[in-house]
Amino acid sequence: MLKLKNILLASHGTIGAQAAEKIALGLCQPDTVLHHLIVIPDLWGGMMGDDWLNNASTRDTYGQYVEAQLGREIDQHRAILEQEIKARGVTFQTKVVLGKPDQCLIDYAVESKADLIVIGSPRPSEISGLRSRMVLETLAQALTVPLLIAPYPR
Amino acid sequence: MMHEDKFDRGSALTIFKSDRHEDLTALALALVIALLVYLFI
Amino acid sequence: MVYTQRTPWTLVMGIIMVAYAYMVKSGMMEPLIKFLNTGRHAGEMQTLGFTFGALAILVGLWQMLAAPKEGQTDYYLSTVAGLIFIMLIAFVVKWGLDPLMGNWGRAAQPALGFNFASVMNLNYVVMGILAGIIIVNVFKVPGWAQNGVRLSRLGLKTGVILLGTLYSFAELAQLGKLSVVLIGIFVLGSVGLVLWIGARRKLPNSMTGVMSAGIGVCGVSASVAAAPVVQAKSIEIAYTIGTVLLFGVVCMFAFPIIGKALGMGYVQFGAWAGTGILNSAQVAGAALAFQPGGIETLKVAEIFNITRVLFLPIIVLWLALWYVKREVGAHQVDVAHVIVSKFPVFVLGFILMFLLSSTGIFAPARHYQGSYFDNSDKALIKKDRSGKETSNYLKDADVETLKKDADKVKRDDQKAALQRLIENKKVMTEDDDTTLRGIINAKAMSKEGTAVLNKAHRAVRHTAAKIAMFRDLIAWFFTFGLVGLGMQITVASIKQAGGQPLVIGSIVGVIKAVGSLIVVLLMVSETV
Repeated sequence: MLKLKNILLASHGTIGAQAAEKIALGLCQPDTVLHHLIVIPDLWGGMMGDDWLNNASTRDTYGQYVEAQLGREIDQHRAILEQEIKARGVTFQTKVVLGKPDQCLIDYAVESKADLIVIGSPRPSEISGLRSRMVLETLAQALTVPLLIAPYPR
Repeated sequence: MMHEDKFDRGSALTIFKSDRHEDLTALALALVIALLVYLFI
Repeated sequence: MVYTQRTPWTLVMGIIMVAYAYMVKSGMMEPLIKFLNTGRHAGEMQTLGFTFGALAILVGLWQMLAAPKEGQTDYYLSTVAGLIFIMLIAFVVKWGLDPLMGNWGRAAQPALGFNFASVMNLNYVVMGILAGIIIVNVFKVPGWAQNGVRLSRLGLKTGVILLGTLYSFAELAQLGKLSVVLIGIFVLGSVGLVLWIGARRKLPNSMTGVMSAGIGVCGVSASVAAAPVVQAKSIEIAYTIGTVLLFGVVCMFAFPIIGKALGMGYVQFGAWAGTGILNSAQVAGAALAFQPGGIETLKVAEIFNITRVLFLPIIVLWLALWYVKREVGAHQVDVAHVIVSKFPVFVLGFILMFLLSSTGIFAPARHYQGSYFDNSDKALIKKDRSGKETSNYLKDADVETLKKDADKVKRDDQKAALQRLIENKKVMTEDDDTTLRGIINAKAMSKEGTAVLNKAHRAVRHTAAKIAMFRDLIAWFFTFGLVGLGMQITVASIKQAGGQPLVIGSIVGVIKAVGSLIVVLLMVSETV
């Protein structure tokens, strides 16, 4: 059996990611550290689109609102997950980064010295949601540790 | 600290920091162009 | 922080521009200009090439040699590289790709059966916006150009303000009335429709709110203004903005194609694009795509755009009050604050420029829309760039045609005016011009005769130089702004189109586009 000192869990609270959370928690051994990575996709940078007629103040308000709203949603998700993690007595760390999901995961895998990475499977096409997926091929080529993909719960 | 803030204009989609500066600059630019056209064309 | 990024590209772009302008001036470019048939642009190639090239060389050298210190100078000069970058793209597209596509379109016509360049409206405005979209999505905007790209909305706003010089009181009043009616019906109608559908489908208020602004008023800008007011969730914002951007890009291509297929006039198309296109940046794009060689359509479409912008604070206020009524814990609304903070100041600039222009300082008041009468030799005999003279006097054959048709004219004043035209081979007075146009309008003569009269009329009617200059400048400001805005449309954000906003947006967007098309075709005639 793999000795798992560091598990990297990439999750942002979607249904697919919740399945990954369950599996990651199940894999935790007494001395395992769970590294929870939350990526804010960089597509948010383009979310003001080609707006050109608003005043600077309106755009500032919007920018701050979106940042705060993303923050609130992450906090909610973290609160739920951390409750569960604490209940199981697992040591954990959370990191929030802005960027391309796959690149952030690759970088954090090195930084956290992960032995295993757990992610959710891509959202089935009939379910709507944010379109920002990990490119599995990029991950497979760049990662040096095993990658576990939790099946989508049906 | 204040000094640094002054020249960190962030990455908003306009180069103008404060409210309405962009609109006023556009107006000023238009008036200058109108003046040039009036004088030289 | 220091904003200037040390790059050789500013200097390189400057050298390219100056070298090109110099080659045009010296005649080395003549074969290319002839091939592309861009002789009419030769003047602006030199002026713009030398101006922007010199600016780029100066700033480029400064960036390479001096060590910029943080401060205002550094900050504002850091925008020059991006400005030059956009201008270079605009030059390549307008003086190179646009005519080249025209040539290809004509060459491929026998094989394809249609001229793809003109059917697809592959003119410089559309290709400029496309170039922007391709650059940001495929290559990324270079770091040194980022700051200058942020100038694009300044360009658009300046363009709108300058546009104020081109309207007469009558025109503005008529277009204003028409736009308030159409925008009133369709904006309020579609906001209401989205709110109603949202309630029926039991969607969250925050989603319905941000969606109704984006789909109803003016697209991305309205979503940006409304999202904080209705406390939209992140995914709701992403869905809405993605949907609006997707619709915007599709409409920018589809509207001009449909407009041409239906044979719409400038006023009709301007009114339709101004009402039916969801996102306001694409209104200008579609108007210029429909009529790249002139700005009559843009003039109409922008009035509609401005009316929409003026509706924005009202809608935001409506949504704020609507949301407060439905959600406990929502922020109370400060009505005055919403109106003041959302009011677009550049619209006042537009009005100011209009008032300034209506004093007649750019063209005497009787020069309606900048057009005036001049039948002197100076105005009638033109030299082209190679020094060859062309005369706009009537030819002998033209005179013969008129003589043949002369007995068809019955009214004495018309007979006299026609006689003077035949004797002098040009229209002699402004009154004669008006009288002769009466003959044209009455279709009293044969087709050939009417054509000759039209030719004589065109020869003595001229556009005031100042007004012509404004038109050119406005087209450039819009081109600059639209290329820059194209660089802010990312595929990643378009891909977010989805969820209920995509479904409802498609329904309401299509209803609005088709509905406004029908109303415009029924209500709007060509003469405003």
